[in-house]
Amino acid sequence: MRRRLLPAAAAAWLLALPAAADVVTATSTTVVTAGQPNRDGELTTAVPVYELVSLSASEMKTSWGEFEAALSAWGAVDASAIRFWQNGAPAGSRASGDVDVAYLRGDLLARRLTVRLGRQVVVEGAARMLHLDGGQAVVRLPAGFGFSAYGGAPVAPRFDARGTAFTTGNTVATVAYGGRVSWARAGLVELGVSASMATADGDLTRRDVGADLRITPHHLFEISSAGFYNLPEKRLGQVELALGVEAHRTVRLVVDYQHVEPDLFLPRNSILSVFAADKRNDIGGGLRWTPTRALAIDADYHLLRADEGDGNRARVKGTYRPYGRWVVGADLQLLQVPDNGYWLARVFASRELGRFAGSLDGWFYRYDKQVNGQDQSAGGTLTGSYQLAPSWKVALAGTAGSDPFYKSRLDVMAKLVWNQLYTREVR
Amino acid sequence: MKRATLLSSLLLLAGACGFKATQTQAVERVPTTFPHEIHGGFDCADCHTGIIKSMQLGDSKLPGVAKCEECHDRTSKEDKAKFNPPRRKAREYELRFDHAAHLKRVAKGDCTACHKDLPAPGQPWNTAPSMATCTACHTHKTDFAEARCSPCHVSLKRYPLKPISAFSHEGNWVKEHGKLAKGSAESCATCHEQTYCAQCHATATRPIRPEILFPEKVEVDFIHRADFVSRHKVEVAADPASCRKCHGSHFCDSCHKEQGLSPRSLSPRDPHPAGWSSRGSGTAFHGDAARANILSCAGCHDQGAASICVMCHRVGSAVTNLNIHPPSFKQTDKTKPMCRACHP
Repeated sequence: MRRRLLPAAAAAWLLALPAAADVVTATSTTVVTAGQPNRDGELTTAVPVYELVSLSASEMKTSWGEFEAALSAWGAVDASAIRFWQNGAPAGSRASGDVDVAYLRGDLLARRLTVRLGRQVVVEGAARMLHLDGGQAVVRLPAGFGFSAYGGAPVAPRFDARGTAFTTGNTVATVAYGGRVSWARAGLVELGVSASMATADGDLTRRDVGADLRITPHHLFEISSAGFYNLPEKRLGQVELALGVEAHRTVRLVVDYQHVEPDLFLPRNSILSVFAADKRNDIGGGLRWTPTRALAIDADYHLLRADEGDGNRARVKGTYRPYGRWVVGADLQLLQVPDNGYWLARVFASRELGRFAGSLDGWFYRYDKQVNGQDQSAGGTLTGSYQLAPSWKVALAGTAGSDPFYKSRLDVMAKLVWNQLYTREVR
Repeated sequence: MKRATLLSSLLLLAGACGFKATQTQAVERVPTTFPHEIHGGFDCADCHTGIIKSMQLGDSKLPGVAKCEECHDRTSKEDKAKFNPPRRKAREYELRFDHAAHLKRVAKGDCTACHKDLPAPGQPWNTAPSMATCTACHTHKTDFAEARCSPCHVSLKRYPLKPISAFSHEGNWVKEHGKLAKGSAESCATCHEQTYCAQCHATATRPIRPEILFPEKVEVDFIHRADFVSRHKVEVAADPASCRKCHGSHFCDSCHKEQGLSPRSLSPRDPHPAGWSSRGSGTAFHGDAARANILSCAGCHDQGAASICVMCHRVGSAVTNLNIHPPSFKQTDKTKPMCRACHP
């Protein structure tokens, strides 16, 4: 009896939370996709129906502090064949579902302390966007100092076993914890030192310390840097350094450098972590030029230096918004590594016409060496949407093309979206 | 069970009622009664005495009746009513602002440098200058472009039209935003709850990629856009660590297995070139490839002690007994389960 009462009360309490909130955001997205994925040389027909919901209730003001509750979850049913691949998660049943985030956040002690409990993502410092079931606390101290700490169990898909070889996330661990000490002076400096630890059933999988820095000595000039050091291997896993300059009111320049040792991104209990210690260095830069309010040109180039040889990554993208409801653009990309490379040409456009909106996205690849016996790939997506009511939208998209793995393919997506923001009072 | 159903139904109803009550309501602003314009001969700080030391909004109270009585004699009944204005309600502010710091920077501490228009009697009691007044001095173009609002704004969640067009998140924002978030997740949280982040970053649980869910957002640089499957091998070779920030080995292997490319496949096909296992017997050697990009190997072979690597490389193996560790290898604790796979 008590076992049934508790979840029912918890669910009702969660649904009652918006009543106490000043700001409530709720979305519902019903999606149907249809396509024919390849499974070991055989085409299967997959028609999954998804329902994705999110609800956040913020600015719940109490005498203890201000609270926020957030939930993002989904469920799916396979109307045709069971999808054999669900982002690496177990796929044995026609019905599936999961919780992306579900947490309660409290800003306490006049916002000096923030606590978040539940399923969440941890962003700060060397955490590397850790998806966690646990808690995080952030303490804001006087004079710009701060401290944050987190702990919990890295999320396993579909509530499966954690910390096993079948974990699909970036952290193979049963327990993860860490924190960051920071100092900031608004508009001038942000500095942080962080640690990120993880174990799988007591076996070490991660032990990194990191640092991040951002200096804005002038409002037109910015230096940022971040990196982490792996303690067991006594090596730098990654160092990033970027220098940004507003050279002109229409031109922003960035010069950046990255050193990365990819094997240190493997969990330390992986057998493969003992085989290699490769180093990579990328150096390059980019610019954004906005000659008119409607036109933006983004370009960048990076030299990719690796032990096995050098490569190049380059890109030019132009986006033109001639009128408020038009977007037209083109994107040209090059990626070359010793093993292979490609050229990508992409064009895109979107247009709003009253309640209607349409968009087109087309692409063409040319590979330096054949991929599965083919050296090119082409395709496009056509999307149309209609605003049914202020909070309701329906959209239909079709993607067709030919690529190295499909002589021809057609995927269809239809969605119904409801998106609503409620506010109690605007101050 | 019946009691549980009844209780949860009641609570659900209570929640639903509360939810409906959160519809947008009119802004309540009390009209001012104070005629600023006829008190023009005074400095603002003559009456607003606390403002000079005020470091946050709300900590300096409005002048009280005692301040009026320094000049006005309120002996009559009419005067008493006249000099007893309604008090402003206590409220929480959505901005952080330090009057004391700003007054030092304004010529002669002139309040009208920012407060150009003061409300006349009967007008809404709103003295806050527009944001353009702030940006007239604080050009902070980079902060503006990167949507770093938190130094001034406590929260922007209640704004229904989040100023995405103004805060353009310029350039290759999909690539750049992660670097900024490391030190300023709080800035992101000014507008975005984690339900927003989860659309891309809940990689272990999310069932559908953002470029499939949002095909209409053609100008956004989604990472896996435009036939990513065909080019993913080139991307892994160019920046394997970037893939690893979201995906574990099993994520890759679970698809490779279904395509017959993994040792775990029912009918595995060998995707490697001829002569892969021995140096000099083909165009490529697996040891060189592993040294160059071990994360690529992990896409199929990261099964711990059951890995195909252990079969040959374990100590005492009949096939080979080479030291496969790189020169920089520092792990010396052979009691770990990983080590015992090869060093029994």
